[in-house]
Amino acid sequence: MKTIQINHIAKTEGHLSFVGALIDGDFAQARIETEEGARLIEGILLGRKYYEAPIITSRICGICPIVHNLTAIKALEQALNVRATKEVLVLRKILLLGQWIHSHALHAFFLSFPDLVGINNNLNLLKKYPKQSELALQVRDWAVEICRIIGGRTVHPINSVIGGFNVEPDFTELEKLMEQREEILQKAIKIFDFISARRLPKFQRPTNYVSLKTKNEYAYYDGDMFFSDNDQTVKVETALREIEEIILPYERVKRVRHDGRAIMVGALARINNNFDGLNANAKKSWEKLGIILPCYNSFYNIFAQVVEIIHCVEEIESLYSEYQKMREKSGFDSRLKVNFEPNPGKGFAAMEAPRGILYHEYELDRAGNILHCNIISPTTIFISNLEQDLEQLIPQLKKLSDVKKKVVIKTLIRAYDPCISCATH
Amino acid sequence: MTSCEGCLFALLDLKEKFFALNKKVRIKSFRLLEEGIHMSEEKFDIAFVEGSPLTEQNIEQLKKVRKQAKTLIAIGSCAHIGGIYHLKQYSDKEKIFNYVYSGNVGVENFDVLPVNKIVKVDYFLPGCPVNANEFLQFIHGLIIGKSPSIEQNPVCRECQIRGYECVLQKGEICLGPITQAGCDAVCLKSKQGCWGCRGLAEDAQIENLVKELRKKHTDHEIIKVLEVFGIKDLLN
Repeated sequence: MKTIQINHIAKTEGHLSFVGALIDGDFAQARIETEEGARLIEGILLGRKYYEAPIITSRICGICPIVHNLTAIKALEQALNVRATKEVLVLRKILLLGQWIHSHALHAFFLSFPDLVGINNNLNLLKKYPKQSELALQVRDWAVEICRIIGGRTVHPINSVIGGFNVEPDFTELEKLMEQREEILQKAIKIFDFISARRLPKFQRPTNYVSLKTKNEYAYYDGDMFFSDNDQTVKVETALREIEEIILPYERVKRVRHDGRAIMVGALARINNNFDGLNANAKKSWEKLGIILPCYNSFYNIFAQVVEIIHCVEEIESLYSEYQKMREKSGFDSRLKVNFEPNPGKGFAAMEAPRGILYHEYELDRAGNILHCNIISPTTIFISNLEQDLEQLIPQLKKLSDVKKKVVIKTLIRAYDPCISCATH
Repeated sequence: MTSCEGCLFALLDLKEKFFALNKKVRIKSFRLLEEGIHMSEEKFDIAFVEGSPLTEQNIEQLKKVRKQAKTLIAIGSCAHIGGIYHLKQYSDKEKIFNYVYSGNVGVENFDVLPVNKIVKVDYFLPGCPVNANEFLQFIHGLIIGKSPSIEQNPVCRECQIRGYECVLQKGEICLGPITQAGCDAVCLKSKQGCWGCRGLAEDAQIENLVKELRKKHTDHEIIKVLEVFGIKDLLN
């Protein structure tokens, strides 16, 4: 038996290690270990006020605080019988897509792409590919600005609350930013062409891809849950009953099984399941790869993320024109926030975070105190699938030196874009 | 250490200004940027630590970094005053652990402490997340040999200068009058009352604020807000 251990894998969100063993040439074991401490977020929310949850849960993760904030809000609005207005929904959707773009741009270009060109230090990446790095930074910055203007700050949103938004996002700033959208779209396409010219390792493992699905759009803000293995769409509450969170001794990260098996969520899962919903340029870019869907090579998650950046810029374009029209109608200001009184109730919500389905559920008492909270993050959902991919990958690498083996293993781990902070909440 | 890493992203969001730092100082280790020297034996002039020491490994690393660095700076409210995860301290920590982990064995359930309860800290840069521009000014101060300090004003002052609406007068809970400024009153810009993520301002008039808040809120409500970032522990 030959063991492979990689401690402190850098360039991921949160701290993790890998332990693997090649048992008899064709059979391997793999395990991802978190180095993050348990923060007990669900536990610390017990007995606290409902309005603290969107603020506290955004501190689960500094890279995707917006989607935690929004998912908590959506679940709590269900518990409190609050119906967000169309105006609020459009702004939330732009905010969420801004979150996807900046998370994907950072991950695909600065965390994963260096693996494809053998660069260990991003300062060297900036030196070797200054033009492309600049493009990736510009696209990311544009999205970070969206989040700042609508959310009130770049990290940990303030303005987005239960019922809507406290203040109208500065329209002059937003308008100025939106003038750049065509230019940003072209930059995103250029980044895709540049990154996707790299070869990805060969790999295939039939996988159950799971994502939200809606009729009218590439699902992200809401929808039912779609499972690719049996081609079925089920209600989120039904799917969640079949999902099991497994707690193992000495493991801070819980693992998720659906029907006893691992499932995969995230950009590649969404493209496999919802390709038809992609916007035109995003579709065209993915088609350049010449891959027949479903794509069972998990390394393609990197390219899938860049395709989604293109899709998001196009989507923001149409959402923004809708927003402009809404803004001109009288009474717009009063529709930015819905007032309500606390009441007892239960609520849950699933949303597509950059890394896949994120789920929050809450129960409140009469005074608005939190009685129950459960959060399932995308990395918790896909970590078993990543381990199973690694178990298939390791035997394929047996001819490589130990150093090269580790490089490919790390490339796959990073391609998944694990967010260990989210997973160890 | 254990955190959301939002402080690291706040620094990355400085964009070119962050990378320009590399001309003035040598960035020896930043785990979002590179691999390899995570636990090296090198000496550093300055080390920044963020997050909460919540695992054996976090504590070990914190002590090691203290030995390696001439100057240790704690950034963000977790490292500074305990931060959000410190909320655990106001509940039965065994009970909430079991709520989340169903009595699982082998997972640490340490007290959530600010960094200076474990090692000596030379400077603090407060905030959740840290104010990246303040971080830059701080480093420039250190480079030119100034002993850097955080401006001691309450958030109220920054809020008034910017002409934001006073949420305290509207009857909401706001800790702006007692909280250390330097955040540009960013929460008040979005009409969110201050919950004190930057810790107490010098000479904070706590009694005055509590008296004002009691006109409209119960002690229970006031205490809950004081707990969120750990301000409650700073009151005597």
